[in-house]
Amino acid sequence: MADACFQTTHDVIVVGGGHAGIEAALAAARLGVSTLLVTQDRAEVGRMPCNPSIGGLGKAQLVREIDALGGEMARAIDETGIQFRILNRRKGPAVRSPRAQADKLAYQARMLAAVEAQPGLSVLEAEVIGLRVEFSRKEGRRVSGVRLADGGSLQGSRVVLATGTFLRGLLHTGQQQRAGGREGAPSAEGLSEDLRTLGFELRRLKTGTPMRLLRRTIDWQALAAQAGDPDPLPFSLRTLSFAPEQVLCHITWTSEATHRVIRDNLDRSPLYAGVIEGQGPRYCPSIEDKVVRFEHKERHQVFLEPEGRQSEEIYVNGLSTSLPADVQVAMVRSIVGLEEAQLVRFGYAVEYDALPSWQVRTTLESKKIDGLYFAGQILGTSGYEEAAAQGLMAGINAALSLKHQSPLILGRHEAYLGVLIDDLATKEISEPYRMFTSRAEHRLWLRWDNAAARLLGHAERIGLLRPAELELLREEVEAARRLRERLERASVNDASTGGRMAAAEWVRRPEGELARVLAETNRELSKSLPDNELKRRSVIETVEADIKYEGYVARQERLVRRQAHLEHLELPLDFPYRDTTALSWEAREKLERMRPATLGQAGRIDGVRQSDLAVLSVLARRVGAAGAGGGTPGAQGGQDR
Amino acid sequence: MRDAFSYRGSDADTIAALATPPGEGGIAIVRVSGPAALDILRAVFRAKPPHAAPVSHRARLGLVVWPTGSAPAGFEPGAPLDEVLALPLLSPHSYTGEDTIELQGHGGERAAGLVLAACVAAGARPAGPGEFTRRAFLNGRLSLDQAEAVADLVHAEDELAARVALAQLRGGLRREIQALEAPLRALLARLEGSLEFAQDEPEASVAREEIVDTLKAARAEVDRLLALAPVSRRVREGVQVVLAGPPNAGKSSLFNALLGQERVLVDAQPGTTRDVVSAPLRLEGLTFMLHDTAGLRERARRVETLGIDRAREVIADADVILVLRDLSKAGQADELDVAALGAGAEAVVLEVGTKVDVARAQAAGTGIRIRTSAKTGAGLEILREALLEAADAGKLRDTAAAGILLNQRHQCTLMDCRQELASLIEAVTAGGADEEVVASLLAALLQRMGEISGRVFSEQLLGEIFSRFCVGK
Repeated sequence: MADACFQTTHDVIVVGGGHAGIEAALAAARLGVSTLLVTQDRAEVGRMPCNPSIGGLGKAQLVREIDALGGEMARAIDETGIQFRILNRRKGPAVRSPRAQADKLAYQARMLAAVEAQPGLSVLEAEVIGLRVEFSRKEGRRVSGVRLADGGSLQGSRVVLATGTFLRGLLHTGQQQRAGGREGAPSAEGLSEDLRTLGFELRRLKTGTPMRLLRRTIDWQALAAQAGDPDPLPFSLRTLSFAPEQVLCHITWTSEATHRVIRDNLDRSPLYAGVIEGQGPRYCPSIEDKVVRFEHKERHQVFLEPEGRQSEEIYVNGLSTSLPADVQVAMVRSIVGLEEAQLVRFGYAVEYDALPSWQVRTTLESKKIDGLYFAGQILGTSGYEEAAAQGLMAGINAALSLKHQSPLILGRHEAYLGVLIDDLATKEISEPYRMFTSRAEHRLWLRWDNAAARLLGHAERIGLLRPAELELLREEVEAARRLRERLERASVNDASTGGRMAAAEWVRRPEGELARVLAETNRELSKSLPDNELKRRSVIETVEADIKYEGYVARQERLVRRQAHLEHLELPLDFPYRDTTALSWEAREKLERMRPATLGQAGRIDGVRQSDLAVLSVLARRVGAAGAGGGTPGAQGGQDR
Repeated sequence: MRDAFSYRGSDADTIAALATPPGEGGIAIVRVSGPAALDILRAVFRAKPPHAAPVSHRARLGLVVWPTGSAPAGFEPGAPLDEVLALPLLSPHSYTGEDTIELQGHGGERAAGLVLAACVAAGARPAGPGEFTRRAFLNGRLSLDQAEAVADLVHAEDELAARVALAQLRGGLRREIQALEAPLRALLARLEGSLEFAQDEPEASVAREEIVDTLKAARAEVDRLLALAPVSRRVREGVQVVLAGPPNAGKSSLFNALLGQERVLVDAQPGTTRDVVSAPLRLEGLTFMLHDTAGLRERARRVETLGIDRAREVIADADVILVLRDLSKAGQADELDVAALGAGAEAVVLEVGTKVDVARAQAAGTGIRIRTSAKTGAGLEILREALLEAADAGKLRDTAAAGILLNQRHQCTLMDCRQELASLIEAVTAGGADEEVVASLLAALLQRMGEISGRVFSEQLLGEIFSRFCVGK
């Protein structure tokens, strides 16, 4: 391992240098606790092993939220993105989401630089094979460090496991299998077994990636090009000038011939031959899955995305597959524009061990072992953004707990970060979890454009942002508030009646455009806007969305508010579910395992019925009133168990 | 949430209450439930002949006495309070799931009160409303649905209402709500698909017309269910029948004749009935709530004014109004205009002739079909049939049999949903609400509907159910 003078004791040890690990390590170090990032290969820190893009529906919101709290991802993609587009442009602001193509190598270099430049953060190349756990009768089990493959060990009272798909990773291409965390990287074999021994449940999940093509072998003339947006807004609230030089992506389609090749070779697919046991994501199906499941669809869209400005590799978005190499070649060559294409890398499926995520609390700390945090794909999620989000929250909470401060737990009504982690704490994973806007009950409020307003208070308390950065957020929120006020007071001509009406009222109409109001009315209104052009646009976007959604948000809140009190009713972590005979059998079993923190969470657990909630709501109140030593609630009539 | 549901006291205590309605029947049952039930039995019960241990589900005859040293002043210690059958029901094989004893006495209300007092003296706590059922529920003996049905059964005025409660329990209304939800769910799924996978499926947007059509169909469905509310009320609370007419038209006499008993003071002096008198009449399994109103006339004596105001209230709520005409009187001085009295537009008005036994040939109202005599009973059968017809008895039974009657809670929720649907339709039609708005509000709406179908937990429901119970259930 490290040289003799290497410091072996840190406050926080982060295992894994992917998108979760980076954010966790940076957050902890920036909050002033000594932090060590352990990775198998320093050169792989910040790598994007699958698609070369960041953002998209639900995910862009996460990236903005990460940024508002002081995470790194948004700034990194702003600096290294090579195409920026808004998805769902023609739909409403709550579901409009920017997405960026990244220059993979540049992104990776940018992230490694951030990690290396960070005071208080060290990086160590080593393989972690186990945890060091201490037991005390009073406090139970607590993590005290990690064990390394070379026999050494490291001490740290907080450990964040962010190992991605590396736990017992197994790569499949056709019938060929090899151990690996991803192409070209070894898997982590020991840690899985150690977690199992410590009493964690693990399950197999599967994900996949498409082949990469050699850029110069593609007939670009035959393909439709897709350009980025002319004036994109940056992801980061802290980016003040933004004029990325953008590249093109291209679109093509699979053909009947492609589908025939796939069908003819299904028996050679590890997925269909039953070799893969892990459950894959339904929303990100392999091409063989799509062909089988949508057999009447004549063609499927394929996006050709450059992996970087200079890169010779082209990512084939839409053709994720684990079919054998020769089938992949035949498949690609049956597609318009790709007739002569050469494959640089083959697509593959990866199976890995993940930890069903209900084993963590909403701080991402393990329910079983104190001081141990999990983040990213190890908790069964998919996506760089989801991973980074958890990494940030785990890093923040590990540092806060070292400083004896209360943890950062965001509500479902505040942030996608809150939705994500609450879902993780209450859901049985049946497939890799990715964010969707429909997972957020408060979708109309949880928007990309208003992340600063939603999270400013938390950002101020946590203190990850520097004072000048916080000031930027404050100014943006304040400018939006001022503009809003002025719009209520200002009036515009109402074409339909010939009279005057409040400007805000006009903006609320379907055809009402705030930018037009600002252009057509006196300059008084625009006075409240920031000088910076990006910030001006951002403020206008937020205020327009706020006004347009206002009534709907209120109505939706009114309908869901009835459930809100359930979130405040806490359930003791040691609630005797097993002995509560009034609960249904299934609920008893589920609750005993998952141990939700609140009644609201209990209600989101699959298999817990409304009658179970009724029982819990009474008993929890009673336990709460009785305090500790109130006896076994609800068990008094349970002699029949 | 209502206080009725906040749990008072720990569940370690033992509760007692009179389990039979006061003032009815020969048998009064005192029910005691909780861990100390058997101790209380030993303290207050002297079996004849003495018996060793209580056996579950086996009744013993004996006497209830004050527990040692607890007889209040004026009572002989050890003196029997009542002779009872004591029935121990040991946990978990009792209604509450706890050790329970039932003391069945024949000594009437006063004796039962003393038995209850003896149990309390022996350590039981007087139970709150619904507390036995709440314990049954908490001990897993009853589901929430069943508890709600029990509450409805307790309140069931008649056989039909009881059948409805049972049908409800089997899920009649739940099925209706699920049918209502299904197309909305399908729409929601398509909207979400369109929002989340816009890039893969560029043509997936849902047309505004289609959204509006689906929402309108749902609103029509909600309206159909809401239209059952008056029917539901008739089944639950009885068909409201008001006897109206000028003073001395024979309202009270007819009222008594229909009920077959002397409930109202009858006097030949006009204006005798100074308030509204109400009593239930059961006809073919349905309940009719008869209201005898004060004599309605223009120049009421001051003392009667209060009664007349109350009369207007019941008239406003009436399903059927019987307008009485004295057939013994020549001519009709003042025509009674029920609409002017504030009767609802839905109310069925039946003209009823009275005193047909002394009717004069030249009397007005010869066109009246229902001609009755309280004295001879003539025409009462025709009146009863007319009442059943006016109440739409067939429809009541059909709706009840399908188990889709609404209670106040259901009605409230549906009205909420209706309002949401209406404003959503308006917004989409005006071009204001985009797909994501519709999707978000639809999701919230389905959540609200789920409170009726039982898919979504609502604490309000819990409070409402248990607050409807009376003590002893």
